[in-house]
Amino acid sequence: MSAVPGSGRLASGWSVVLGQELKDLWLAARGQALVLTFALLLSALTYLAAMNRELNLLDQRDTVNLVLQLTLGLGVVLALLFSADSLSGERERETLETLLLTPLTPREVAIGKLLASLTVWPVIMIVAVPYVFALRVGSALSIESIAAASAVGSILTVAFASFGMALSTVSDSNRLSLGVSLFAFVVLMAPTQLPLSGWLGDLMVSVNPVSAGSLSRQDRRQRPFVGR
Amino acid sequence: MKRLLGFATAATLVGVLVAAFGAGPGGQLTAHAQSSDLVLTLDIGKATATTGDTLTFTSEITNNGAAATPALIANLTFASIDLDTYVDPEDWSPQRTIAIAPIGPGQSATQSWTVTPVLPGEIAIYVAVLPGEPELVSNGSIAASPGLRLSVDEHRSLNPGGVLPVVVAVPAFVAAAFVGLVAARRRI
Amino acid sequence: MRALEQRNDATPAAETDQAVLSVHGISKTFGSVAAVRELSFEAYSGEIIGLLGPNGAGKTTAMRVLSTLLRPTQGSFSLDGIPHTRSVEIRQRLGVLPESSGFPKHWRGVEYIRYYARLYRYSSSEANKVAARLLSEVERFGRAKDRIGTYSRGMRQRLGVARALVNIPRVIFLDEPTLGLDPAGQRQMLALIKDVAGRRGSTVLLGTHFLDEVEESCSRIIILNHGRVIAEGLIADIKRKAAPTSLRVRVAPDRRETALTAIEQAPGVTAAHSVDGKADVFTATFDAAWLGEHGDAGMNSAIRALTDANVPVLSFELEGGRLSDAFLALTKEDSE
Repeated sequence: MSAVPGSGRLASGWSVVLGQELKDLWLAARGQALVLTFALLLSALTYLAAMNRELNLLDQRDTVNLVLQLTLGLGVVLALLFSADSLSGERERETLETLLLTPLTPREVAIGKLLASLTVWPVIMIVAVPYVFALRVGSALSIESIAAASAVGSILTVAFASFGMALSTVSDSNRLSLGVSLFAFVVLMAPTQLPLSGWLGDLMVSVNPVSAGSLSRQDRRQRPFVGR
Repeated sequence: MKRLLGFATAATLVGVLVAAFGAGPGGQLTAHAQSSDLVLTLDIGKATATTGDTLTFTSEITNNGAAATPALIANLTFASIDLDTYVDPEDWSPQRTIAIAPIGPGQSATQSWTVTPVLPGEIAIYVAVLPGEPELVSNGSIAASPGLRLSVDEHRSLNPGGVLPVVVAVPAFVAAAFVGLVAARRRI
Repeated sequence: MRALEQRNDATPAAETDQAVLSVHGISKTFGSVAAVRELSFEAYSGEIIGLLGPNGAGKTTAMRVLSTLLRPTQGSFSLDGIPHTRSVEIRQRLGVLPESSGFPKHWRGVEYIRYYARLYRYSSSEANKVAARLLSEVERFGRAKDRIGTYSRGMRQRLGVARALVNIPRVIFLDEPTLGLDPAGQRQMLALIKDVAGRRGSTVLLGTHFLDEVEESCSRIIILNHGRVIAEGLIADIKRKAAPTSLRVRVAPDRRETALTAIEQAPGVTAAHSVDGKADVFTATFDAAWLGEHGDAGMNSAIRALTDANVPVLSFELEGGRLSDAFLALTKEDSE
């Protein structure tokens, strides 16, 4: 018996799942509302940052840092939540079983869903780019800041989304996987907002992907100003 | 660096107080020109501005003494006249300390200062001069300029830093893109 | 359409007498609890097999094992000769409507079927054709483009059946497909199941609580209790296993005394008494050995005795002659 009917171009299983997940995410209200909310938030932040900069309360680097920090945080957390919801959500809505009854392997299902949740990051980053340039910190600094944030964000997004997917795989309850994901994010985010000193502080900052990434991004961002 | 500047500011303020209440004979520049020999002037006495404006003025230090001064430190200082305006000097001026080489007898040195008012209110600005190390601690004596009275009005801009077009256009574009996507999907 | 035809050509369909589904001693345990024990049966092309059992008997677990969602603890099965270890190939030939099957409510019906067709490796254009065809067969309200959230339960169940048919399956597992449907919906669903088995030649394993629909649709049944097969075979044979030993008869009320005497004296009858205080309804209980010797026709002796005594018989029925009686008797016996 042929397992492959018809004459059309056949997509692999994970790409079919990915295609449907992308439709669900970006053509449905959920993803669109989130991106629009993010754009409005960034607009408000940029406006206030520009106003403060005009009053000399913030310097140019700080305004860019504010915008990119928000972008990074939101992009990572959204990718994390989407992936954490992907399998446990289907399980809770009782739609996972029918998916697993198809010839797809569970791995193909997971890959398709993980890749879909990763698309949150580039979309969020693309939305943030005009704001960085609007802050007029100079094209060199803008490009360098965007490149650094993109690199750090990509690594963090892949790491967190994979973590969310792993949680979603083992969790029967969507609430549990989303709750644990958010908790983990907050715990790892905390060192970036708290004063840590000494070797223990350095160690915590270094081993924590969020704070290490944030530090690396700030280093890159500040390099052109070293020696000022 | 910030800590040093803070220290210098604090020292200046203490010095000003000391000068105001009359420094004793110990407050003199031994073997150098004395503080009373230094005359500080500002090129403007009054100014008005709006928040966010940039005000530039100069100060001039003249050594009327018979001996040269030691190396000096000039410091820009702010005080609220209306006692109601909170002034954080760091927000108001990016550079508030200038190192000055020794000034010979009868000679002058000029400093340029930039101030960006952050809040509306009535502000006094003046420049104080004190000797650099090592005289700072042993024989520190301070000279100060007359005050510059700055009246600041609030500046209101709808387009701070020219970001308004972007902060309006991006959400509008995102919304339009999604409406377009949904419409296209319905047609499929 | 061409894709569907090709698929049909490609399947080793009903042309042989070989079992499509062969199950050999399947067991499934969860810790110390045996959900399914030593399940064995064979299913042939076009058959509708009823899988019966009280709650917790192991029907759903058995279906989940046979659909490769759970690994059997013991035993093996094959579908079209493909061993259960090749689960992807098994699922390629299997259609399943799980008992608690959810649907993405914001999707449209046609979009749902198209997606599953794509998952079964149909090309995009073929998936469109498959979706249109299946929905025209099972969805008769012309609401394929409406959101699933607006569908009634019956419509969702039919959509689920359409999804289970996407891959032209050799075997279809339907777990409680009529649960929650109104009588009209149940009838439509049963007609659809019979159509699937009859016209497509697919083998259907129907897990249900409703014995009436089993009698109406199934050729064979398997009764599970406590994870074990307690009866398997043709419905008529199962009924016979719980052979009736009593007869209920209704006579004219004015001949009650005569009727009671006549029945008591009929050959093979061990006892006769009125039912629930009704004067005109009697139950005659026969000697099991006597019935074994004379068969079901032995009960005619009671009717003959009544007619010989000129008692008009208004109605009569064999007690225990229905599938539900057999089911209850077998499960009760097994539990004891």
